[in-house]
Amino acid sequence: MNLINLQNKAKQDPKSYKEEVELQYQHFLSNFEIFLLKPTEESQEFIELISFLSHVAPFYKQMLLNFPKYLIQLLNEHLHHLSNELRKGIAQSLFILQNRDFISEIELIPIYFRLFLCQDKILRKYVFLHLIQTAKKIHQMFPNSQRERNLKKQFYLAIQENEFLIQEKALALLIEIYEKRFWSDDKTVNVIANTCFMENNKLLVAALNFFLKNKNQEEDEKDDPMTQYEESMEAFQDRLKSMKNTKKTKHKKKLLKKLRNKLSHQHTIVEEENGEETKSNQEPNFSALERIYDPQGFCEKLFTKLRGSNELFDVKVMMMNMISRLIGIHKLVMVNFYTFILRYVQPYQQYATTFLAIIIQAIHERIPPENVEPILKTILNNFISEKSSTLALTIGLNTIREIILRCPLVMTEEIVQDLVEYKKHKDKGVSMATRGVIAALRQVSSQLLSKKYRGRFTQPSKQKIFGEQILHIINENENENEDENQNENENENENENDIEFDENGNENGNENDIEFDEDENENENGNDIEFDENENIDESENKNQNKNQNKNQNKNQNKNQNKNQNKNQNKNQNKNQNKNQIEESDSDLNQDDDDEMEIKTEIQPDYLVGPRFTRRTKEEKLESMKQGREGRGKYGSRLHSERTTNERKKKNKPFRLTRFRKKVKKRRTRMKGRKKTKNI
Amino acid sequence: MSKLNPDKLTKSINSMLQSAKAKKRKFIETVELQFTLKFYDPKKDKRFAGTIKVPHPIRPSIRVCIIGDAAHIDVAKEMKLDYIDFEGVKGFMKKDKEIKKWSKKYDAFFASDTLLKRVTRIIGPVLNKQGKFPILIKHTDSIEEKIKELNSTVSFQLKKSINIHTAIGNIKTTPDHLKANMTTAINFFVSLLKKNWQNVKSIHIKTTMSPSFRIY
Repeated sequence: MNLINLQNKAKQDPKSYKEEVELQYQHFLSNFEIFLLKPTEESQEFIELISFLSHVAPFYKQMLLNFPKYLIQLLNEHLHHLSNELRKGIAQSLFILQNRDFISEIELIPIYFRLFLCQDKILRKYVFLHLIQTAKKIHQMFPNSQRERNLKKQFYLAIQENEFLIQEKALALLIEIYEKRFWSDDKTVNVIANTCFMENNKLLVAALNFFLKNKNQEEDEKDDPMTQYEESMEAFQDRLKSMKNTKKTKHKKKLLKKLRNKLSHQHTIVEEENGEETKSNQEPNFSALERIYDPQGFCEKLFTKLRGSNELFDVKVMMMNMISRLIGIHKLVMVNFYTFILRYVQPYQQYATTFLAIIIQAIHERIPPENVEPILKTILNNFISEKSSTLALTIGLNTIREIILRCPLVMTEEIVQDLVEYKKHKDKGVSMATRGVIAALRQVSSQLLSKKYRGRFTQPSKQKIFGEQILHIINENENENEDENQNENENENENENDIEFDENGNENGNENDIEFDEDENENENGNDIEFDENENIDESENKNQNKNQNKNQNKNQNKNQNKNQNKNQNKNQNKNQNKNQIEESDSDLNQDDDDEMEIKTEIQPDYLVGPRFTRRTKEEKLESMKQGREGRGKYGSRLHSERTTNERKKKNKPFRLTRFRKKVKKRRTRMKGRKKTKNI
Repeated sequence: MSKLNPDKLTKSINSMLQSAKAKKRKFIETVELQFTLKFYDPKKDKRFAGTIKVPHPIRPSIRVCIIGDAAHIDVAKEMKLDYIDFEGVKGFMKKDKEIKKWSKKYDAFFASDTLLKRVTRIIGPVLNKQGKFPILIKHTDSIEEKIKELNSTVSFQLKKSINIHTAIGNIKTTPDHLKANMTTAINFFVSLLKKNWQNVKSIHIKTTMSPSFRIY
């Protein structure tokens, strides 16, 4: 009997085929002993036997109890002697046995990792995928169980192995599994983090890549099942429609059933995805950088490694980036780092913007300004002078803007005066960057700006002292609150870091939001409905004003009132003007919203370069011209394009107009004559 | 605006204190406030952090050390507080272990405004790690008041998890004071959030050893 045939039958009816299977098992044992004598020999029969037994094993647990042990022994003792075919066969049957819970994964994991040492690319890929699959299965079936912990432990041990190859694969696996969010615990992150200090520098690169990577791709992939579902839904409905008025045959019924099944399947996929999303809502994934146990210690260790290392330049840059990100997120104090990185602050330095971005990430309010000052000085000297190129100027100014936001105390009035001069620079990028600097200064320390640049609405702020603590005090007395509130409104622009709230302030914030919404509604309605609208506006205005009167007047509300007044004036004017006005006021509101610059923990080098305004080359201009031409008719004289000959026009002339013409008459009479002759 | 139910709050405070009384421990238990957030995506939403002064003191006593210049040391001597001058700080020679051993004795540090910058460079990293970054004092401030202020300060910072805990008092504070502290702290915390109460999943209170009581 054929082995595959026997396999099927044994599965269906284990009892009656017991003897045959036992026979095969004996066969395997004898083959096994022969094989041990000549391990390099290839034998197709042996491979088939192994696969057969592994499929059947779950049904004959007693009999085949020792079967996996033989396989493991083979792999352990003769890993490199085995032929590729046989090795793959053994590995696959081990996968099967493990998936059926015939043997536990814990004892197999070290063997799997040893398989990575083989020179067989396909096998390594199989093993890699299988390990991920195992992690997923265990995570889904027994989350947070002892079993899962043991499995993790095996992976962590693999990273400690002596073989570089195994280490690398284990790290790659851990990263992959973390990113798929099967194991997203702190321990895993820290195991990954600790690989930075191992001998093998490939591990360092992989780990750094993992920590610094942008993870926006995940979200894009998620869209797919939903769109698929919608598409097949449409197809299904189309089919239903077309079948409505036709005869119902068996074939059509089948088709319909098929479509319905497909639809329900996709629906479950979509639901699962949604379920995962809600799960992820419950447990948001914090970035891996935040999960490192001892950031200060880690940073110092990495920094000493960086100093003594002779790695590639790119790797060094990555290490610096990692350190600076950690400093920024955990607010670490690493004084030496700033002096170290200073030497890279040159416009001609390779990756100059990357270094500037690294510096910015590493600056926060807990660092003494004395340490930031040399950085600022070097940027001023190297990037911002009349000789430097516009690009260098832009980058330098943008960097200074970010530094101001993070550490306002380094700035002095003299530096500010110099910087502000660039506002009138002929290059648009430079002048925009300068405006950014001014805006940042307004927000953080407006006392440094001269009155001209400070603007009308910002009051000069108080000089702050390093290390000042910001406290939020709530006063229950309403009357006192008024004064306080006014003060706070002034302060709002000064200290960006401190979020100043008290109960009333917060309420006001909410109300403003509501008012914005109302404004928007007005705008939308205004486009559709005519003058009746104005009454509505009036009502909402009244509401607003009432609210305003009730509450302490804060600055934003004053602005709103002004806008309301504008609207009052416009009430009797025609619709278009009204619309424009509202749009204007809306854009004002948007500007108010954008005013606050936020501090990012992660800065991309491109962010510092900003939009570029260079003159376009001829090719670029031609290209844009060609783009503009697409999808429109040709310009030029219309006559030219529509010109027709008289001959052509005649052909389209209605017959009734032409039939009395001589030429036509003649032809017709001739035709009649012919017909008559035919008839005769 | 506040979605806290005052009756429920008083009730749960009382039952919490009772359960603490039922089984006395050898130390003074602290009362904790625990928040759980929802619909919060740490990647998109802004990090929040804030400190607020609550009306009543939180800890029964607080151990402070003053890193001061001559004037501040005199004040510290008068008030019988521990102090250290800049030479003393220098004496640590940046040895982390010694700094750690020394800093363990204290809950908080004050540093004179003239010294803070220099001090940060030497002991900053270690103290920062322990969350005891020195607090600035000016010559115009009275130290006593500063300590009081510190003792009634609650700070919130989101770290690693969407659960946030803070100490809000101890079992020796009266229920009324506890309630006042809680309402101010909770209202402030909620105001930090992007969507205010919509971001809050639950709020619990508990003492160190007692079961927790849900108040929202």
